[in-house]
Amino acid sequence: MANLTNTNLTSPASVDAASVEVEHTSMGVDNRKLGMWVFLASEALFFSALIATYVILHGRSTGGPTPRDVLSLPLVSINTFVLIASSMALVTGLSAAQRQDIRKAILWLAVTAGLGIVFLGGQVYEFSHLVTDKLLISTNLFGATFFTLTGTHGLHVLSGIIWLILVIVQLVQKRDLPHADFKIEMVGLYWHFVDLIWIIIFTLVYLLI
Amino acid sequence: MAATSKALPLLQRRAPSGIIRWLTTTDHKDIGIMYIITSILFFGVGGIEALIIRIQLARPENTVVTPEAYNQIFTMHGTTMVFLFGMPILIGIANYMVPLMIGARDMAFPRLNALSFWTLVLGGVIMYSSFLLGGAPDGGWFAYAPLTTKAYSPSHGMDFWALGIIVTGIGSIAGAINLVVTILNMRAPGMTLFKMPLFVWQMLVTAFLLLFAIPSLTVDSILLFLERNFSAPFFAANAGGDPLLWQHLFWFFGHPEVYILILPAFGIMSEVVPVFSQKPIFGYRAIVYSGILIGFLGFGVWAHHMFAVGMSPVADAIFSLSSMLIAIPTSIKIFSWIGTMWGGSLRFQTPLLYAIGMIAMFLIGGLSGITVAIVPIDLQVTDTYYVVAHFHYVLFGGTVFAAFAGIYYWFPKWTGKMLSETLGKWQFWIMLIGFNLTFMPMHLLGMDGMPRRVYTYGSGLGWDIWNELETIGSFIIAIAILIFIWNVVISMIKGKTAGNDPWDGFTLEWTTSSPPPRYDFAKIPTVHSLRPLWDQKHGADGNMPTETPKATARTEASLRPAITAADVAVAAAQIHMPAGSWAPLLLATGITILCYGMIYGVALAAAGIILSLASVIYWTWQKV
Amino acid sequence: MKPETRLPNFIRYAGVLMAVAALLAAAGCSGLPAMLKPASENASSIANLIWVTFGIAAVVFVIVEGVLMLTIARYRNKPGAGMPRQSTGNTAVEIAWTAIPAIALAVVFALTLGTLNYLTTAPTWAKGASPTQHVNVRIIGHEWWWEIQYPDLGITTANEIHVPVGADVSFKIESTDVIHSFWVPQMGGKTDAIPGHINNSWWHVTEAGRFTGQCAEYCGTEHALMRLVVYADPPDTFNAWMANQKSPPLATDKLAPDEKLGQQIVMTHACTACHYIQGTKAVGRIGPDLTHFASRSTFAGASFENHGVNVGAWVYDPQKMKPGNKMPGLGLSLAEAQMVAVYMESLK
Repeated sequence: MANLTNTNLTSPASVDAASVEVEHTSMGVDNRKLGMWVFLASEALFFSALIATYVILHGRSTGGPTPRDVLSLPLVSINTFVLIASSMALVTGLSAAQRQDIRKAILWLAVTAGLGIVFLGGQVYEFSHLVTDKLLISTNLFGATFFTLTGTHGLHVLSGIIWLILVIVQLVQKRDLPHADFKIEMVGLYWHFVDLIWIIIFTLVYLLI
Repeated sequence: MAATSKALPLLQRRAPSGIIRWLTTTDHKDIGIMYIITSILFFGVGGIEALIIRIQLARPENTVVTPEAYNQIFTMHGTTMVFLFGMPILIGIANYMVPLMIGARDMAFPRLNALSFWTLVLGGVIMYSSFLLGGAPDGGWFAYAPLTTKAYSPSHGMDFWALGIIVTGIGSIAGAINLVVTILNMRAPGMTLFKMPLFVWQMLVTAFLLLFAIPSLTVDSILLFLERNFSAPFFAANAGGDPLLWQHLFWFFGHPEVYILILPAFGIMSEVVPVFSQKPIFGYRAIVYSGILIGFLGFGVWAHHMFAVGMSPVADAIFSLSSMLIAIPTSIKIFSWIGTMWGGSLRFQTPLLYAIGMIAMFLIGGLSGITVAIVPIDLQVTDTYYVVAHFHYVLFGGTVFAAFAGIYYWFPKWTGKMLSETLGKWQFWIMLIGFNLTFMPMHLLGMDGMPRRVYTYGSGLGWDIWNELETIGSFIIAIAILIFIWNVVISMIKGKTAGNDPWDGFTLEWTTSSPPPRYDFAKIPTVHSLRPLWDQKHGADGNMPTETPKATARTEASLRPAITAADVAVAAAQIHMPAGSWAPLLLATGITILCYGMIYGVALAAAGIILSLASVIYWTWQKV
Repeated sequence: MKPETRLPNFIRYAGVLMAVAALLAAAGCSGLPAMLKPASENASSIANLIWVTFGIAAVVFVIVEGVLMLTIARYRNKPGAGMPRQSTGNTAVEIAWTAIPAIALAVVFALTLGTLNYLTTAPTWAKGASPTQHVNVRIIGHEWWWEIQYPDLGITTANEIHVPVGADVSFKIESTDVIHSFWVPQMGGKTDAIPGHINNSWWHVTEAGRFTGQCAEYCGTEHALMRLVVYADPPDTFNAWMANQKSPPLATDKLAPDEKLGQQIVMTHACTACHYIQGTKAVGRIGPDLTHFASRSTFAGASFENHGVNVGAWVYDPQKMKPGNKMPGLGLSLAEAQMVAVYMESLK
């Protein structure tokens, strides 16, 4: 749903309002950006509920395998690093776009999407190993909560990759696309948010408990 | 903007007519109308379900429907009235009215707005299609696990329920984002937050409640779906899971949901009461702050639905206290409406009638609400007909009466026609009598030990007469609703023409034509007070329309800037309004097919994903 | 707008309210509802709280609805009266109507805490207390009947609870399948029976008599027919009941011939897989314990009167009487079913 707000729709009233500003009747933030922040606030609650479920049911499994039995910290650490790197690539892409260097921006967006795909690949690899280690969503509560939480996050990364690709295609199609940096900023908000959620998941699931 | 070059595309954009126009519309007014019509249709369906319930319970040991059918019917009655009638009618009214009341030309994201509507419709389709696909949901509208897990509810009914909830939830979140951005960013010049109409304020709070409450329900539905279809043991006690997890996540959504259903009603009340008292609202800021306070407190009371599950006495006491606290901001609102009427000059037209009915009935629901916040009393009355009575006094006596006040108030704006006052008054009195006859005896039955959700009860318990009266009452309500529908039909055909401002209104929606043009306002008005239109007509002081020349001159200049036919032509030519789009409907359809795919196999799911992706691409590249 | 030419609305309002009041009065005449006829200290503490809060609510109701009606009567618009004064609020009034409800609620909350504290402070008894002073009862919810165990007394029964008047009764409440809620309105509030949880409740029984209750949490198809009965017995009656429950049923050779035939049918059919009858081959623990079946006044979730005709009809086709219940039809002939009923009625 997030990427649906990514249009070049003008906001009819605020255009008119701008000319006869009397008192502040807007937040001074672009509609789409405000909408994105509001959406991410809601997403934060969504992940809070999932994370709370994981924490509440943690350690209540009646049978193995346990997280310690099957989770591989090195693999996930690399994966986490990949995702953080992708966020940095996106920031670099944004600043390129702000300098009107669209070619570089496209490149860095591609790097971001590529790193996102690597992250997802890593997650698929991890999941397949867990399955070989006899951990399924139905095996025990750990399996149920782990796959639900990380899987939902993975789907968010996938949506982000699709969005990135849409922006890249738009930029390739039309090098002088108006507000290119704004488009990148929007996908960036979402991407950094998903990245941040992963860092929380990584810390909670793999490091702390 | 060159007038001529813009005029042509605008005419082309207006071109689609008939069904295509409605399927592709991105106009907040069209979408609002569709929301309202859809929710009234669902109100009819939920109402018929209620009548079946009442027929079955009219006599003890009745066998009109089987236990299985009864359980499906009450589940769908609750689900329909909450998700497919209550929320959509309020969001629909808001969709139509909020941009008009704040002087905007549309919602912030018109296509997202259409998506919200279509996900509602298709979410309803998903849930109701279960009747044809092996059995409807039968776990009650709050769907307590483990009763709703596969072992105890083997049909696909609860799967359809969970998916339908998720899909309508997507629409609610999208709608909430739209409302927040529209209200915060698109107010007419001069309309500071504290010059916003109260309906807009209550919708703002409601939108935030949706944003923060719905995710919890979505997660809960996902967990339930995974448990049912992939044996993930979240709620399975024998695998270490906890049935109470469902309840906590559900009620963390479910109680704010009550305020989602009542705050917009409070907003409607706060518009109607002052206009028909010909006097400003009493204690504007108190109503604003109490609405915000209700929003905050609403997230801290959820476990008052769970006093009987064996929480610690301390938790019981805390949730009891927070629930009681909500009574204070709520009573402030009731008192403020009465305070508004006090000293006013009351015009007893239909909107005010429903508003007064709402105050009188909602008060009863509020008082019984305090009794159920008292833990020991709740332990007795929870899950009985007493609670059924309580929430119907809140949601029917409160929300439905207020919704009718809003419908009678704004119908002229939506259609250009007045609803018949005579029929409206007949409907009001019949509904008031039927409503009390149906729900008042339920207090007594509950206190005498009749649990809710029973398909029958024993004879000789002394419950027969009350149940029979309730059934009669429910049919009286049905008559009132039929009068309403007749009123709408007849008024559309030969109702009085409304004009721009039939009620001597206060707010911006009455400055434009009825129904308003696609762009709402030919010129965006500038606002200087809470009652811009009133001040223009009567002067800020009411009695002295001409003695405040400065204010009058100001409003004359900005509010009704002498809109001529030429202005309208120029406006129609110059104002760029978004075109219609198939993308929202296609995306909602894609999501829906994906949902059926979750039940009926990968191929269908893949088709849904492909359609969704295609519509996102179409959405991205479409010129609007 | 056309001027109003009808009866003032407040008169109609008053009419409706009077009708409502008449309804309530009629309710009063037909006797108090169960919650206000307590048979235990617990229920009576709640009943007292109900009376007090309903009293407060009634005062609020009369005042607010009264002011509303007064407003309607006084301030209806009169032709030519001109615009009303455009007041926007009154701080003193607003503070007052915030403070007064707050004070009223503080009082109500204090009362709530008192009663809550009483209800959650279960009496403690040493192990050796006599059953007529203190009895432990384990309640297990099943779809759709109640299993009742007296762990200290070695008694297992179903749907009907016997408790001694004057005693403290401690409950442990559990469920084997879905969530149920244990509730007898004249004895006290509800306690949910939740899989994986053991909840506590207690009663101090004060009145002798037969009291009905019902599962209060929707638990599936036959939620409506998951009832229960409480017998609050004077100590002697309770002791006699207890002695009977502890004794074994009649041995096979003491049975009358037709009872023996019925027993044979039971022992050669699937009955034994789910039901327990002490001293026989019936050792199932899925359905209700039938050892003293005939000592109970009801069966099948306290839904039907326990007599030969009903029991025969039930055994012949259990799905007809309580559709969806877990007992399958056994394929018995009507005559066989009647013989089984005869045997069942011998299990005193």
